Amino acid sequence: MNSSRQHARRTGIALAFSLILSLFFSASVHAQDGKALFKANCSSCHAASEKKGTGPGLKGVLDRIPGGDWKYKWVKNSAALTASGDAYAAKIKAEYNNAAMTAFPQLTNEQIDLILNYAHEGEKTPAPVTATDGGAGTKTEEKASGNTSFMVIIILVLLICLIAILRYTKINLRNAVNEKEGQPQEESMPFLDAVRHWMMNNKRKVALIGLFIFGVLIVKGWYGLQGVGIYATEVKKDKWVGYKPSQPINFSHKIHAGQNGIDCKYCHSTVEKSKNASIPSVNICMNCHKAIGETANPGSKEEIAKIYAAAGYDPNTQTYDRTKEMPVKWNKVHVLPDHVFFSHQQHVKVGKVECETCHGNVKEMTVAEQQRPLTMGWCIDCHRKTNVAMEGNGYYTQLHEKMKEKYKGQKSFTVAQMGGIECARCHY
Amino acid sequence: MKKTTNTLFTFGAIALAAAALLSACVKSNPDSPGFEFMPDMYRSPGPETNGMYINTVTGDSLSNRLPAAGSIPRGFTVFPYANTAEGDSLAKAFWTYKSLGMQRSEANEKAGEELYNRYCMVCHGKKGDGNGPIVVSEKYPNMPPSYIARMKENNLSEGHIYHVVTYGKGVMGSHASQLNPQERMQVAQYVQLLGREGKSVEEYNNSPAPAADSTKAAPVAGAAKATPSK
Repeated sequence: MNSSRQHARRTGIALAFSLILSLFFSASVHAQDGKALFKANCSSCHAASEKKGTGPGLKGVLDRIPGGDWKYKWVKNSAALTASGDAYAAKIKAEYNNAAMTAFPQLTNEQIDLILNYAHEGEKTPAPVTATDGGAGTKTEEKASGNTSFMVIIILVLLICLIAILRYTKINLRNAVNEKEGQPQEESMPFLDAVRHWMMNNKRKVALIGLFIFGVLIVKGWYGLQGVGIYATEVKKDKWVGYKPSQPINFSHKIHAGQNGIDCKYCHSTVEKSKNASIPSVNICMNCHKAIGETANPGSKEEIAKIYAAAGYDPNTQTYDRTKEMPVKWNKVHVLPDHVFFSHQQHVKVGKVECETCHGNVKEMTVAEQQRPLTMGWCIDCHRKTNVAMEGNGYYTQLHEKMKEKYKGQKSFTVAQMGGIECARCHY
Repeated sequence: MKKTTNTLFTFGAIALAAAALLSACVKSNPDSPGFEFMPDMYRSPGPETNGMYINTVTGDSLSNRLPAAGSIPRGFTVFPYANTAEGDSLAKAFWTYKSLGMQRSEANEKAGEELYNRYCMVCHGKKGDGNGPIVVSEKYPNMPPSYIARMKENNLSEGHIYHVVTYGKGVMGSHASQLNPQERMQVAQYVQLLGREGKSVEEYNNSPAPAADSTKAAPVAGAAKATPSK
């Protein structure tokens, strides 16, 4: 008896407690969760701004739609509302390609209010970030280097002018002195004659200067010759790398593959199926950029507009016009000559080589550049040093057994050991 | 003595000027692919994938071309349903693993997982709840639906998933150029696994039926998950 009363009291306390808790909780739900509900249920088709998605942007929605119960009916079952002959419902449906909105019978009126209030006010757009990851950086760099060579030329011209002026003044002064002293005027020599005259009188200096210029030419010429070789514009630690052309669209691998963590193979999707990793076609860009027309990075709107132009896509009507399609003229960065065979499939799918091994740290590149020399010596070097991932690799089951027999006591094998440095492996 | 100093001075001045001038000249244009001393077959005379060449037949410079209308690759199974709501419901009913001569298997599930993590995970999330990295970071504005909720609602058939991967749905684009039919089915299988929250079909079907109010609670649960938690 006693214990049961105690029990009841305890239950009562627990109940009261949970009631208070739930009150708290529901209050907090009210405060934050129009947004969360909106994200979970609506945001696949609607934006909380003026931007059109699959459905209309919902900013200011409460001013547009009919009042009363209309909003609840529409959200819970838009198809039924349209079928009942509601004019506004029919108009919306026609405006959005006759796509019916998914019914949400599970939402309560209260939840719908929360969602619509959130959407009505709209998302506060974050202020655009001023620090950029776009292609802007490299452009200023280029400009700067252009400026320095221009400056050097200006300085040289100024120096030559200075020399001419000084020489003129010197002759004039000497003539003035001669005149005063009553001596004959000195004939002014033509410039080239003067130079020749000076050179004849200063053979030692001329020899030194000549020697120096010869030295500079030899050194610079040597480095210049090292630069011979296509798709290699810089000598870094005796390797020819650094081809970094500008691209028609300022696409940043740093943003896409680095910050957003999109797999390389998402876009270069043929890498496991083909000799080529392929430059992605714009339909792959459109998988995401249909919904992303602008980002916080400055200049993004113009760049994304170039994708739309290439795809023949009109973001206002959300339709494609196939007659306006125009391929993007990307500049190929990594190029091998025709006389060598290279297959991505073989290296990536079979050999399980990481993209970074040959392409460098692409995830940090704002503008794609060649970071590895891609010369024959470099290929061979890797084939000599790298152990092939044979263990548990279905492509090598038989070969692995044979290799173990041939090289007794050895378990891992380099590419060279299985004939990877034979000429005809790559040149045929 | 004086003569030497003089010489050194001139020497230095001219050296500086020459060095500056030369370095300015050698600085190369980043858009130029470099100097080809002797033709080394870098510029291919034949058409190369993604390359440019002068096509003597059409007069343009495209090497990638569309196949003739209606061509079908060898071993390719045509998806017979249209990109419409009716097509979707037909695919839902009739397009199964068997349509491609496949079946539910662990190997397919594993292949599907790899493909899913490559092509879908960025938006749909590792667990298929719609919380992919670019959705959580709010770089992508639209949140994809949760497979778990969809599985509860309408059983998430492979035909429907295949239809969506092939044609896209809403803001999602078509992934047909990235995934071949078999791969789409493998992805579908993994998506179903995610929808069942990692349980096998029998386990999922035998698990206690969701309580009556659980569908009502579903969006709220989704809502709680939607707030980014790192």
